[in-house]
Amino acid sequence: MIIETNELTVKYGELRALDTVNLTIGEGAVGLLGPNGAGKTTLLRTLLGFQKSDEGKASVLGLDIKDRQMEIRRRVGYMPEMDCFIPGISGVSMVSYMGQLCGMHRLDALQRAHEILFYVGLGEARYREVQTYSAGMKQRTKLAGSLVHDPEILLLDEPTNGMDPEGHEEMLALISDLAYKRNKNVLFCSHLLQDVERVCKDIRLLNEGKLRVSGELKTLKQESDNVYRLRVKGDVLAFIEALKLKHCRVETDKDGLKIWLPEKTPLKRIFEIAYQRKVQIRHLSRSEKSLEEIFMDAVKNNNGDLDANL
Amino acid sequence: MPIFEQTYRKWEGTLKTTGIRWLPITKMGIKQTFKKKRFLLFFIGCQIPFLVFAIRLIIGALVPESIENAPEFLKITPSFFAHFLWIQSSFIFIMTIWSGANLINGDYQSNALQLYLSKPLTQLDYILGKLSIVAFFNLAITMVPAILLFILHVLIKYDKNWFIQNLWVIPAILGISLAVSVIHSLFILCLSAITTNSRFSAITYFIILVLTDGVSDLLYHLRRVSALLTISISNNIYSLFGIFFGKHAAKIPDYSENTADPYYGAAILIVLCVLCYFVIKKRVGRIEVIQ
Repeated sequence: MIIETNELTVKYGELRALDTVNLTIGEGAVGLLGPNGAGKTTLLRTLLGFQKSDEGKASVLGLDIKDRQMEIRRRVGYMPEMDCFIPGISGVSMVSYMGQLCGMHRLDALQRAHEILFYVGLGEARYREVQTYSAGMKQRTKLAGSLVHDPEILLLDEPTNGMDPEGHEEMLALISDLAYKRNKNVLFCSHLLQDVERVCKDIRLLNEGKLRVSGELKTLKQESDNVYRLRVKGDVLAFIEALKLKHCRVETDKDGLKIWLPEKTPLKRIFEIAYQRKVQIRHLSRSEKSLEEIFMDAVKNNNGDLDANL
Repeated sequence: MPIFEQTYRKWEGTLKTTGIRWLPITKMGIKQTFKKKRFLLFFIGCQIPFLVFAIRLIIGALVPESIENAPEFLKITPSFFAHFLWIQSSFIFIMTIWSGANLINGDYQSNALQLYLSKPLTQLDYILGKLSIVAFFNLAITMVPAILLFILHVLIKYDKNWFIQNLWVIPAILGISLAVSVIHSLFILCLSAITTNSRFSAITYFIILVLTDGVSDLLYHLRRVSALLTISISNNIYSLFGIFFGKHAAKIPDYSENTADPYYGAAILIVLCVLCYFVIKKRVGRIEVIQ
């Protein structure tokens, strides 16, 4: 496991920012989701040793966060959420400086800074002072600063914050490239669901300091076997009435019908009813939850248990 | 390796795990400070007393020892070096403000602290890195020229007896320079850590030094109790000359009779330094967590 926590608890006075979080994160790109104040940033900070845990244990790359902080920071790249930079220096100097702080030789760090700034798309602007950069350029510089020492894991805290649509797309493409072509382990922390869905195959969802959802996105999206999406042509109202008479739950939305068949009812029952009501079935598929629905369920279901197995 | 290909490459090098982790912070800080042209002029100006003392030293060396009525100021004694450091100590005041007032609050303003502390650096590394920037400039106008003067004297007029008798001056120069530099550096860093504006930290530094001086002088003249002199931070710092140069300190032209007891003053300065360190550590830690 890349990251593992066991009953991890972090308190700010009376507030439990992380509440007995048991979490495992494997290789690849994993999304860390949650509304504002859910504990995402606190988790990242605790893993990096910025914030001391009050109870429980955690490890990054098998290294205990309590006594191997320096080694963890050497092997991890962190991109903070806030707008942060070293004032008075150029982009290339800042990234090179970040490399030197990690323990790189000055010349190695400088050469690497040039390469990484080209990679993140700041090739031409790299000699300009960082404080003159736009918000998007600063985000790219932060990403470059977290990548300069070639870390095994990238902890990205809201990496698309403040970026214009084009920059936003490019940033997501960069993160995907790092995760799937460069074999970097990425923990992508965001409240933007579509961003996480674009990049990650696994998600962990926090709310009010507790882990609410954990698992593979594909699995989490699957609803029970008896839920179907349909688009039909003909007397839809009569069809719905007939389904309800057979104890089916039916909902309509812009995509058509969503039907919950009673347990042990075969799929052919839908076809039989459609045939009886002379309705054409134009589309039928197993229903999938959207990430938004998963998120909303988890946020609403505050006192519920973990929705998926770790 | 070409740098024009826009792709990610694996870095094959190894990261240093030993050595001084905070050194890049100091190097960057020194480089940044030297970029300021006015500062550079001031730094060069601070070396003028060195030139004057070097000329004095050369003239002193040319005067034959047989001349009994040679002026006192041409005799090279330990108080010559103490006097030089005494003069340079007054430049430290401006040097400290210029090089240290924005070191930590500048990082607050740009949220740079989390960039530093997400790297393999501890809070202590960060503080040492910043402290060394101010200390570097302070030592560059005190310790370095004073040692150079000593070496110059030894080279021009090699006198084995003088050298052996005055060898203790080298540790005295190192000691007083380090003590004065570290005290000023910690003090300005502390003010930089508790304020969010470099002007405010510079003004506070100035006010505290002037105010404690004024209050101490006033109370001393009213009560004539020498313990009251220790209220003044500058007075305590100057009194350290008595510890490092002993009776030779009294021969410094500006050395006041109304100097605080050096050991009492040193104890107060040590407490002040410890206090400053804990304030900096607390502030750096607090910002790190809360942001």
